[in-house]
Parts: sequence; structure tokens; C-alpha cells
Amino acid sequence: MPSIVFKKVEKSYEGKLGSFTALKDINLVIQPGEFVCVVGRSGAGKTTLTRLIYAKEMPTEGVVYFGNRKTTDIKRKLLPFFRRNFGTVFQDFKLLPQKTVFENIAYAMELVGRKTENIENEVPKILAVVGLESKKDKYPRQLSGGEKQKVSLARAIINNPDVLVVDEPTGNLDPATSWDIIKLLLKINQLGTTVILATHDKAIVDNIDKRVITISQGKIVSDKNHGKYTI
Amino acid sequence: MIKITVNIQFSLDLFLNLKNMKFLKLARAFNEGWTSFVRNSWLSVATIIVLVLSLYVVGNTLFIGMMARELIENIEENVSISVYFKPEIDETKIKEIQNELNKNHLVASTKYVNRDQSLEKFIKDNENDEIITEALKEIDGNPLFSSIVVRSNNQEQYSELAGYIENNFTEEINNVNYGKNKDIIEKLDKIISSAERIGLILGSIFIAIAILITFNTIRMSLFARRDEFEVMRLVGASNLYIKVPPIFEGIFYGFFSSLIAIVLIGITAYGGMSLIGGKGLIAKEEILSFYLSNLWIIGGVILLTGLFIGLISSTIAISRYLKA
Repeated sequence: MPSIVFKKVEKSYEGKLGSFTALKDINLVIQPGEFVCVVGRSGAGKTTLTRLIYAKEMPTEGVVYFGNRKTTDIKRKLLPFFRRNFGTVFQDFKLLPQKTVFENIAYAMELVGRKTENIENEVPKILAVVGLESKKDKYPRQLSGGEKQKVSLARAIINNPDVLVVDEPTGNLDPATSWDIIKLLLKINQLGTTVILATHDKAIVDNIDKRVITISQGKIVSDKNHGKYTI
Repeated sequence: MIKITVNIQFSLDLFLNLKNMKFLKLARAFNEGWTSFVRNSWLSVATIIVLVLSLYVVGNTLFIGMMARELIENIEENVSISVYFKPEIDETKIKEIQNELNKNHLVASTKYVNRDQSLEKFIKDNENDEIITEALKEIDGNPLFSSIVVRSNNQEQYSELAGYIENNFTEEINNVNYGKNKDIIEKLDKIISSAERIGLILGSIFIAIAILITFNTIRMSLFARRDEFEVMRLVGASNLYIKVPPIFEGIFYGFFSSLIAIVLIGITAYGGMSLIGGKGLIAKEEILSFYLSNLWIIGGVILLTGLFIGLISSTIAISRYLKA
């Protein structure tokens, strides 16, 4: 499984009011199978860092490697195929509103050309893992926030990605539901998937006892194994 | 040897798998397009109405044009020069003239009709007309002339041929009946050409409007789904995978509109065109049977135009969306 390496990465955005640097001088290595929490205040650069990993954004300076591939070398039309190495989960779930729970998860399998019988076998299994077997025919609007996030998670892992990038997954959820999601992430990580969790939920970070990368004003200010939330 | 066989088998399996995968994806895209078409039913109805209107104009222009051309061909086939001889000219002389005419390179065929045959035909044609029947009884003889009906291979040659006959047989002929059909054909030709030109202009305008409206309808539908495309991309869908379902959606618009337009033109041919039918040039039943016998051409053109409009509109719309 490939590791993720940031070398002297800087990311800035050009705006009407001038240039804004979201990340600067980022050097980082994430080994396969790690569980990494990326913490920091809102606007610190957590989301930008995660987006650089799955090539949603490209660095302005420096390079990001996924294994031995530079993300900047990937041709634009091949990016969707590159992104299939990653599962992504977002605070706003990003489910397809016109599709049922089953169809949302199945979509990720369909686009990689999985056979219908495989889809029909595997989607119920993943729904059982996230505890949503009874909701398979519901539409996202008929689900609670926690349920939506579980569907999003199920979709992210259905194709067994190498890396799961999770951006503020508990931002809209109550503490109990948040813990359900985190437990699922830990379970997925135990099965070998690298998990990168961007969050500002102190309780979660302090309790799971994993590697913590703290970002402040676009810079990594600490990077500790078994770290704590220290902002 | 075994290794080569295994490699070939592996390559073949890989090829078949890729082929199956592509077919599977295409089938799924078709399905997605259909679902979206059904889901946006109100938007679909509005688009289909405009498309049907455009295809109806295009189809009718083609249909009327084809029918008019057929009509002209029929009339042209019946064009001939009737050379009427003075009563004192005997049959031998007329046959000599016929032989001479047959030798002329402008002449395709000739037919001698003697006075008795002319009278017989005249009586038969007017058997229901009491006045003519009475008049013939009063005359008590044959007032008609012997004639030769001359046909040429080419419509353009009639004028020259008529001049030749008039100049060379002045002594023998009473009159040459030519010009009546020619005028009708020329007038019809002009009317049809103008109608075709107007139809072409109107059709083009309607097609342009149809493309614009279909394009905008699909764009509106895509605008409502713009977040979905972003999600699809994040999940790993390629641009092509996102593009194909809306393209199918556009093709469905074109397909169903074409079918409706084909039926509507059939209905028009059956009912509406009774205004023209039976007025001497063409019978009402002939209009419908002409439409049905040419359905594969007219229907084919309408279907292809409809599919083309749907395909072009949706392709442009989705391409604009996915550029960003």
C-alpha cells in the first residue's frame, strides 16, 4: 500500500484582494495503515491538506507523492481514476439526493465497472457493517445526519480504497452518533486502510490516542504519535 | 508454448472483460439517462412540445415537397402534343406523316387516333353529360378530327418539337395542341420551389430554436444537479461516465419527439389535407397512401433530425458544465 509524502508543500490561492496562503512549508510522511488526526482551528488549513492528498487541489510549491507518483504529474483526465485509490467522507455527506441509500453506495461500484451481482452481494454487507440494512431503500432526505454520514462512509469504503480521507465527519452530529462514526473509522483502520481524519473535535482526538498533526495558520506546529488536541 | 497459450487466453479474457465492462457501463448510463428523463417529466414535456413542433414543420416540408414532385412527375409523364389534321387529309397521308415523325430524334413515340376512335373516346368521357350527348345527336355526324399523339423523352424538347411540326406540316394540320400542360407544370414547379424554400427556411429556424430550447432545458436540468456532478467526481467518476447519461437523456427527447411528429404528420395527411385532396390533382386517399408508402424516408429523416437535435443539444450542454 502506498505511503503519502508532502515535500516542502505550499498552497496559495489567488483572489481579488491578492494572494492567500493556506498552507506553507509542509513536510509530512503518512505510512500505510496509519490513523492520523489532522487538527486545527477553522481556516487553519486542514481541509486544504486533505484535498492535496487526493489531488482535489494541487500544490503551488513543492510536491505531494502517493507512493512514487507525484500528484502534479497526473493528467487531468486521469484524475478520477487516481481518486479511486481514496475513499472520501465530508461534513456535508455529499450524497446523491436522487438515489436511495443502496444506489448511492452502488454508484461507487458501478463507476469502476463492478458486475451487478457483485454489487447486489456487497452493498448489503457494507450496510450491515454500518448498521443501515433497514434503510437501503430510503432517500438521503429521509435519513438523520448520523445515518447520512454512515452511508457516506459505506460508499467511501465499498471499493476497499488504500486511504480513507475523512473531513470533519462529526461536525453536524451529536456526541453519541459521532462516536459511532469514529468507532467505524477505527474498525476500518484495523483492517489495514490508512485513515486521515481532519477534525476539531477535542474529545474524539484525545480519546482515540492516535497520531495527531496540529496545523495553525497553514503550518504544522506539532506532529505526535499518541498525541492530544492542544489548541 | 503453454506460456504463449496462457498469455493469449489472458489477453482474450482481459479484452472480453474490458468489453463487457464498457457495455455494462453503457447500459448503466442508458438506464441513468432514462431515469433522469422520467424524473424531469414536466421539463421533458415542455422540451418535447417544442421539438415536436420543429420536427412537424421539417417533416411536413419534406412530405409536401416529395408529394408535389411526384405530382409533377405524373403530369410530365402525361404531357404530349396532339396534332389535329384537316378533315380532307386521308389516313394514308396521316400515316406517312406519322412515319416521318417517328424518324425524328426528338420523338419518343406516336399514336394515330382516327376520327371514329376520337368520337368513341369523346362519347365515353362525356357519357354522363346530357348536353354533350344531346348535341352530338343533333349534329348526327363526327365533328372530330383525326390526330397523332406525339410524346417526347424530354420535357424540354416539346417546344422545339411543336415548332417543327407546325412549320413542316402546315398544309395538313388543323392545329397543334401544346402548351396547356406546360404552363401548369411551370406554375407548379415555381410554387413548389418557393414552398420548398420557405419550408427550408422555416425548418432551419425551427431546428435552431429546438436546439436552443433543448440545450437550455438540459442545461437547467444539469444546473439543478451540479452538486451531484461534483460528488460523482469526488467518488471517482470520469468525465465521460458523468457525460453519457445526460447525452442519452437528450437522445430520448429527440426519439420521442420524432415518434410524435411522425404520427402527427400521418394524422394531418389523413384528415387535414382533405382540403387539397379530391380537388382534381390528387385524391384524399392518395395523400395518406403516399405518406405511408414513403414513411421510411419521411419517418427516417424526422427520426434522424430528432436524434441529431437531442444529441447535439445535450452534448453541448453537458460539455459546458464539465469544462470547469
